[in-house]
Amino acid sequence: MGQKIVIDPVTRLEGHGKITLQLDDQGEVSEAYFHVTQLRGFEKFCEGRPFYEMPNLMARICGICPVSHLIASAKACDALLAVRIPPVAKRLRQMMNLAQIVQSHALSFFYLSSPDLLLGMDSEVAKRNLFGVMEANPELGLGGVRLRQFGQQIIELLGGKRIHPGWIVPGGVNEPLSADKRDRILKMVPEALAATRQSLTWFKRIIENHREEIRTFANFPSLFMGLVSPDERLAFYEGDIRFTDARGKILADKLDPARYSDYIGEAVEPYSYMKFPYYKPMGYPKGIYRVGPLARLNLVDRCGTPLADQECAEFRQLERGAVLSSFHYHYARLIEILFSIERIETILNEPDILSPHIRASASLNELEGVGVAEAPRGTLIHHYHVNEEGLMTSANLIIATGHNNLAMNRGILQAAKHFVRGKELNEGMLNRVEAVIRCFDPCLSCSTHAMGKMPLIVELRAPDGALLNELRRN
Amino acid sequence: MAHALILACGNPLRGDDAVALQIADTLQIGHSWPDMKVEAAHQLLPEMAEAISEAEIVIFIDASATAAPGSVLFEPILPSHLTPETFTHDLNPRALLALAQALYGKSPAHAFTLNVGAESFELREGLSETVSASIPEAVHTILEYLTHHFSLARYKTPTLIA
Repeated sequence: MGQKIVIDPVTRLEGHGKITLQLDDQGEVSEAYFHVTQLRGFEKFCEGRPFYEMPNLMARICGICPVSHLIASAKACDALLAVRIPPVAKRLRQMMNLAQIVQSHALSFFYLSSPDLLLGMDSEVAKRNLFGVMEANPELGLGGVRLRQFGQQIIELLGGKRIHPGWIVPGGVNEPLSADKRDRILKMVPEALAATRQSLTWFKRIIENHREEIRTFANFPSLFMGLVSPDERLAFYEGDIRFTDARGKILADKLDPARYSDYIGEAVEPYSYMKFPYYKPMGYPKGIYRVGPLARLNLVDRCGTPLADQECAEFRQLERGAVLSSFHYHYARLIEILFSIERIETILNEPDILSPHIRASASLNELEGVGVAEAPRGTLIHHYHVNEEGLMTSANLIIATGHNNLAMNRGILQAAKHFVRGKELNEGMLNRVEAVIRCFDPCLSCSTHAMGKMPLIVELRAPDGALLNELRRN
Repeated sequence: MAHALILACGNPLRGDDAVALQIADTLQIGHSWPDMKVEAAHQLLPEMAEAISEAEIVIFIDASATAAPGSVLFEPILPSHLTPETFTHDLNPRALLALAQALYGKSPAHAFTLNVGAESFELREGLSETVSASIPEAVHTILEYLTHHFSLARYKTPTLIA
């Protein structure tokens, strides 16, 4: 009789999830399901509220990446106002978004994943945390804390607070950058750059220790999607949508982000509150695609800043076509941190960055608006409809983690087939299955717009549904 | 360098969870002192370790789900390596002290928690009457300790809020 393994809760994630592994009659893993078990319902309860409340309200979806929601929401509101925001306002929004990329990627890489990378997947559980990293490699640990601090301090300087800053508003931003703040941020840049380069050097050195994980962690052909700038570089704030295939060939290009529903479909499955987006022309589930750092670096040949360009070129040498192993999300994350710091420095050195012209004013001019930006975990879409009074009649949010849902499920199955043997579960097996999900750095609170504590559970089940084994971490 | 660092932690949208934030406001508005730095946050974060490592005294203020509603508990604490895995959602004061030591090689000589028993963590703004009434005692406790510690006569006598 076949059996089922359940991992519940999955740990070191931003969210509450559960994994079910179905065993066949031979005791081999035959299916894997990643259940997202929380529901928040932001799309529903914003109905009836004035549209201009949306940036602040939607930012509450997440305490890790509120800036992304703020930006996508403000861009949707810009569309409702039908305004083109002042160039300096755009630069300032970009800078806050890049600061968030730094702090969120630093959290994912250094706080959540570096214990596995540094100490090993089978290391003592009690050591697999930031203390363990500090003991084994103090420079790496301190560098990670510094990088997160760097991103958060910029967000705080620009927005007045680290979490849920209200500085980005429909039409632009509500306060210009002061010379003092500019200089304070510029002063922090050299240390942040040094910490990132040091971490990249370390990561490239240890990557060979993880050959098995590289081979088995969601390493399969898929499409990749994200924003690309008109000059073919990384684009976090605005650009056109590009899809590439597993060989790295462009499948669809210069797609209008506002018309996402022409090419992205959303399927639902009974075992999860998280939707399953797919590339419409290929249907469900064949239209599986990935977003986020790995996808973004697969979409472009260069990032657009000198140091990141060098690293990107090296990264793209990992495979002939697209880099397919999701283990390399970690690598891509470090390169994006490097890019973001360099880009922040460039923006701050622009001559008009202290300009007081930072906001366009208008009343409601459109009844539908779409805002799209690249969040740390991938492409974020906010789509609003309002009535003539400017009250929200509907909202649709497609969150980065959602785009990766199909790929995460397939990745868990791949890793489980490789690492899980029979009914007996051990910590190392379990940690590897979880670590596949950690590569994607999913934010489950974002993807279901949920709240609460975030543990994960793994269940092992027989073909008839009987629960055979369960591992639970809180 | 702040001699005394007061770290208040809470969510203003979850009822009595905001009590620490209100205590922080009261300290900042009514009892400013250049050697005392007050910071308010939704949650404790590893990045706070640097400021903690530079302080001589640190006091963590928070609402307590287990203490009697309105009670004020002021207790010394020591660093502890018994930590959560994530460091993002449930970092506690003792782990943060240990992290300060691990990252920066030092932690405050004197560390305390000040917990106020909460009555309700329901989704709403504003404190319950019981918890609101405990704010003067909490502020007084902190100032009394600091005054005693530094023997600073220039402190104002804490004003009890009606």
